[in-house]
Parts: sequence; C-alpha cells; structure tokens
Amino acid sequence: MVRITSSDSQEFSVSQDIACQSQLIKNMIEDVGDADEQPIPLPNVAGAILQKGGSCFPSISNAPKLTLFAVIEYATMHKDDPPSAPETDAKPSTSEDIEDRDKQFLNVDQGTLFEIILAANYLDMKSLLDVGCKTVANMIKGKTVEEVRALFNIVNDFTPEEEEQIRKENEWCEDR
Amino acid sequence: MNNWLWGEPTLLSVVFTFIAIALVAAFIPIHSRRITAAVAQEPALKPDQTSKASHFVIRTPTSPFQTRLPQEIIQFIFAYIHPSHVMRFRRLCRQTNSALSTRGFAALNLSLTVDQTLSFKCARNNSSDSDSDIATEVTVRNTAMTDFDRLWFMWPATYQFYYAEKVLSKLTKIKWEDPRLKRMGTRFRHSASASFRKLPHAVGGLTQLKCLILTHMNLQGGVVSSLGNLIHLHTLSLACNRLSGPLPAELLQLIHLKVLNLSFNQLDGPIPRGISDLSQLTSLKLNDNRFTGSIPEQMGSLDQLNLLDLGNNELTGNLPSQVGNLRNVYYLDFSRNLLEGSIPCTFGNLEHLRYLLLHENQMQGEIPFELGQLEELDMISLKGNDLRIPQNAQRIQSFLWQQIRSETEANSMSNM
Repeated sequence: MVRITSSDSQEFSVSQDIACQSQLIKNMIEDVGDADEQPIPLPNVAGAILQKGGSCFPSISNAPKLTLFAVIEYATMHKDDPPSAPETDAKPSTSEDIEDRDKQFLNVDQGTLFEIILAANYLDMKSLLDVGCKTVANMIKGKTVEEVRALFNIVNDFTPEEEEQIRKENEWCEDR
Repeated sequence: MNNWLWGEPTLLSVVFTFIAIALVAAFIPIHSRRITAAVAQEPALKPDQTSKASHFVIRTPTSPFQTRLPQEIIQFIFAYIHPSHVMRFRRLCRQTNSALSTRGFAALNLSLTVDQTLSFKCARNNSSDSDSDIATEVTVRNTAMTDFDRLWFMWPATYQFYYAEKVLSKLTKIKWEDPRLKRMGTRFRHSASASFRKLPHAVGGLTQLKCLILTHMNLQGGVVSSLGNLIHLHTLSLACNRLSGPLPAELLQLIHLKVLNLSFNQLDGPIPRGISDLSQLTSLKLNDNRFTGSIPEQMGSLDQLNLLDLGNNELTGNLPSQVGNLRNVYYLDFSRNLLEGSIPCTFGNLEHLRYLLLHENQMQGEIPFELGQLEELDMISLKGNDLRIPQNAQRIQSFLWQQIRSETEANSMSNM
C-alpha cells in the first residue's frame, strides 16, 4: 500500500499498482524505497471534494477543484491495462479513439475536466492526460474560432491589427 | 479516514465506490447549472457598474486556456485537430497563438495525424493477400499527390520542414499536378479562386530526388535557392505556375540535370551565363516568362541539347553565333522576343534541326543560304521580322525555300 496526501491534507491509501500509474509517484517510491512509512505529499492536487459529498453543496470556488479521488478512480479502472506499447508500434489513435468507460468518466463539467487534465499532467499519468486532451479536442473540432472562444470563455486579447495579421497568414485554412 | 475505502478490495469497498460514483454523477448536473446561473448573472451586473464610466469593459481572462493550462497541454489538445485547419486556432488568444507557432507543435500535430495515415496504409498492406496492392501503394506514394502533400505547399515553414523530413525525404520522384488547374489551362492559371501556394524552402531537404515535377500547381513566389541542394536531380519541371523573380544562382549547382522546364511562369532577370555548367542538359525550356537581357553565348556549349525553347520572353540583342554549335538540337524556339540582328550563318551546322521558330522578333538582314541546305528542317517560322531571301536562293524550288519565301512574303505583306 502507498499512502498519498492531497493539497488539502487528506490522506489516501492506495495499492502500489494503482498508485504507480502515476509516473511521478512511481519515481518517488523508487527514490524513497519502501513507501509504507511516509505518506507521499501531492501539494498540487486537491483532495476528495466530490467524494466527500462536498458536491452536495458546492461553493463556486471549490466546485471545479479536482479530486485526487477522481484520479484514483481512473487509475483503479485501468489497473489491469497492459503496459502501453512502445512508441514505434503504437496503434493508430485519433481523438475519436476513447474507450466508453473513459468517455463516461470524463463526462463532467468543463472545470472538472481541466482539473483532471492538470492533475494528470502533474502526476505524469500519460493515458489519463491523453484521454483528457482528446476530450477537449473533440469539443473544439468542427467549431469556428468564435464558437471555441465562447465555449471556453476565451477573451480575444489581440489588437485588431494583430488578429488581422494572423488571419492573413492563415488565409489558406480560415474557410476550410 | 479513507483507508478503509482504498484498502484491500472487499465487497463493502466495491459497493461504496459504486455509491460514491453514483453520488458524483448525480450532483454534477446541479453543480454545472449553478455555474451557468452565476455566469448568466454576470453581464446583467456589468451595465450598472460601468454605464457611466466607460464603454470599454476590460474583461480579465478566466479561461483555463489563458490562465492555468501550461503551453504543452494546450499543444497536446490542439495536436489532435487536423493539420488542414488547426492553424486557424492561433487566432483564439495569445496563448494559443504562441503554443501553435512552435516547431515542436508542428511535429506533434503531424506525428499524431499524418503518421497515422501512413501506418494505416501499412496495416492495409499487411492484410491484403495480393502483392499487387503493395506495388500500387508504393507507386501511389511516389506519384499521386495526397491531401497532406497538397497542404505542404500552404503550411507554415515549421510544418513544411517536418513533413519534408518525415514523409517526403525518401522519395526519388515527385510528379504532382493539380488536375483542376490543368483542365483550366495555362490561360486561366491566374484565376484568383485557386488557393495560394508557394514552393517550400523545405524542398531542399528532399535530397534523394532524381525527378521533381510540380506543374499546374498555382505556385507563387520565387524559385527557392534550396533547390540547389537536390544534386541528384536529372529532371526539374516547375512549368505552368506563377513563379516570379530571377533564377537563383544555386540552380546552376544541379549539374546532373538533363531536363529543365520552367516555362509558363513569370520569371524575370537574365538567363545566367553559368547555364553552361548544366552541361548534361538535353532539354531546356524557359519559354513564356519575362526573361530579359541577351542570350548568353555560353549556351552554345550545351552540346547535349535536343530542345531549346526561349520563346515569348523579353530577350534582346543578337542571336549568338555559338548557338550553331548545338549539333544535337532538333527544336529551336526564339520566337516572340525582342531579338535583333540577323540569323547567324553557323545555324547551317545544325544538321538535326527540324523546327526553327524565330517569328515576332526584330531581326533583319539576309537569311543565310546554308539554312536552306538543312535536310531535316521541317518547319521554319520567320513572320514578324524583316528578313530577306539571299539572291542565289531566289529561284530554288525546294520545299524548304518555298516555305521560307512564304514566311518572308507574309512578313512584307503585314509590314505594309
């Protein structure tokens, strides 16, 4: 068992094969040796807000925070996956290639989705980062620049001249 | 306090996990609705706060794309968008613009998309039971232009270099043309509806190429100097495009060239004297451009030439007598230029000459008697000059002299 603590000091005890889906934790365990003694701190990942029932009464500031719980849930779901194939003979993978269980897992609000992506990036969980980014890519696909801005609340921070310059450089792909 | 839940998998913990997931799933919609409601209220507040102060509301970015996502995650997300249009998302905001403009992004985007197509092809080959399919695939890869190949001419340089290195660099032959533009013909190649393409500098990376043919592609801009790297080239044709500017000196490094065709473009400047370095040339077509200056005498040393077409340019001066050294030439076209002087009598040495086109220049004087002795000369065009038949050929009734006479008579008719 591996003990890990979230940024809000919640402690989780997870079996090693699940915890080691995070390359970060795996490296830490390898560095420290037997991890049973000391809990591994993960100062960048918030704890189990959703699991705790905090989502019953979410406050705006807390609500989108990712839970380590969710990430552990994902890792548990995938603990029996074969180790990922080496880059050379990786099977074709487009953003449409998402397993149904992952699709369901990531069927969350935007804020949570980005928290999961950030946590996966921090914890160095390639497969979770992958499906997270694919999910966002699918939200972008087929949309115009204006639609994507609206979807993700992106503020156009270019001067009109700058935007015009980019538009000119991209003339070849603007109306495809 | 979570230990019991994440401990040894017991029936109880499985049940609890399930309940926890169910709770999460049940509450997410509520929570999303609350956020939506909060966002919806926001604009309603703004007019009150700002109505008198200013019309400009400077909104602080709240999007994860502009606040929290590191560049590599932005790149990882957009890398899944097809390279035919992902660049348009540079325009979203500064963060996406810089994330999508790096060399690393081009590599990531192409490796996730193009390489997939290639491995797909391999997979198809492996599953096919006849060898002919594999053969077809190879030929297709060598000649037919894919959608990605088409994009190569429009992508930013970062994409062009990566694609050249990863996908095109093994090719020995490229023969691409745009069938739609070809159907429209050279007369309509300036059509504005055709998309803008340029000859990528990255072409210089395709050093295995022996043959490069890019015709009817609507290529604009200059003939890039990096072509000079393609030292194995024996055939280079960029005919029927919209290329402009002078010929780069580096082109003269292609000393194995046998065929050079740059006809039907908008190239200008002089024909370089160093053209004689391309001593293996058998066919040189620079016709229908805007080349100026005189025809370099050095051209006379290209003694492998079968075909020389410099027609429809703005060349001036005299025809150099050294052209008479091109003993293997059967087709000579200097028509529709601004050439002066007379036809050099050395042309009488061109014993394999079948076509001689000199019409619409400003040439004068007597046609050399030796020209009428060329046994293989089938076609001669001299209209639009001021050339005379020599005295001693006035009454020769050979087919060739009759033709020459009709060419010069038509000329004097049109001059009147």
